[in-house]
Amino acid sequence: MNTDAKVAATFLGVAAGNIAFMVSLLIPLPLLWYLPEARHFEWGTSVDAVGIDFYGRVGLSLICGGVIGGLGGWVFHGLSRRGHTLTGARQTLGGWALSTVWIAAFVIVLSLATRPVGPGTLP
Amino acid sequence: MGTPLLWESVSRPLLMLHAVTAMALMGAVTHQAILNVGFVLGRFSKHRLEAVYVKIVAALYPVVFLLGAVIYPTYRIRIRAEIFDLTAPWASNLFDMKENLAALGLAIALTQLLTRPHVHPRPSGQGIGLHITFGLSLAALTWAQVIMGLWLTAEEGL
Repeated sequence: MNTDAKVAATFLGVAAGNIAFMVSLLIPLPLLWYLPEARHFEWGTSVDAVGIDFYGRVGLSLICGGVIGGLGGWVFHGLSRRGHTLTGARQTLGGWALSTVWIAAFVIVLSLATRPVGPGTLP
Repeated sequence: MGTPLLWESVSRPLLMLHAVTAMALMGAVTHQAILNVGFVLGRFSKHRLEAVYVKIVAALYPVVFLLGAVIYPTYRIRIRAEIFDLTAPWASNLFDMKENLAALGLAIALTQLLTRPHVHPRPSGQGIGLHITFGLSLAALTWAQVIMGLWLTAEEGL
């Protein structure tokens, strides 16, 4: 695969993974939850016991990033074989990937700094 | 103490290993960031060393991340649910910030590994600006996580 196509696809995958991660923080999506006390996994938007959605969120992010990055790589490879220059796409997607990192970081800090926590808070 | 949790019996040694590997990671990202600042100043003579640090960071980051993920269930019950949620809710939120920021850092560490061979380390070289920004971002995120982790462990450790 052409260098620019490879790098552009990597950046696209990272941006997609970060967006999926951010969306799953903001919107209650069905995720894989781990229930530490029961020691098993459960699928759902929420659980009735103390649960961990972090593994499911990271998994969702990796799957979205991998699939979209892979599809992007396939498209970019085809474009480069047809003689298209992807230097601009590489720069733009790199900028997007970096922006999603910092936007996601901002969303994480903002949403958790204001989250009410108390005795018996779930998850 | 209730039912034993997954990996709970070895959570303390794993926490130590998590901390030690995190310190090594912090050293590597800091060295990389210093060399990245050198790139900004037009000093590219150590670009091969910088590429080595990118590889070290990409190797260490997943290890630190996985160790943290393994001890997380014990932390979630024994520290967060049984202590922080009752007495220090800010600490519960700080920990969740740390773990979520860690996932973003993992993405950067792996991105750098995949893209670094295609970066031209010279003034106005292709991809150099983005590479520098990713490197400095990762250093900032890693430092933030280490400080948060130390703060939380000082508050209540496993």
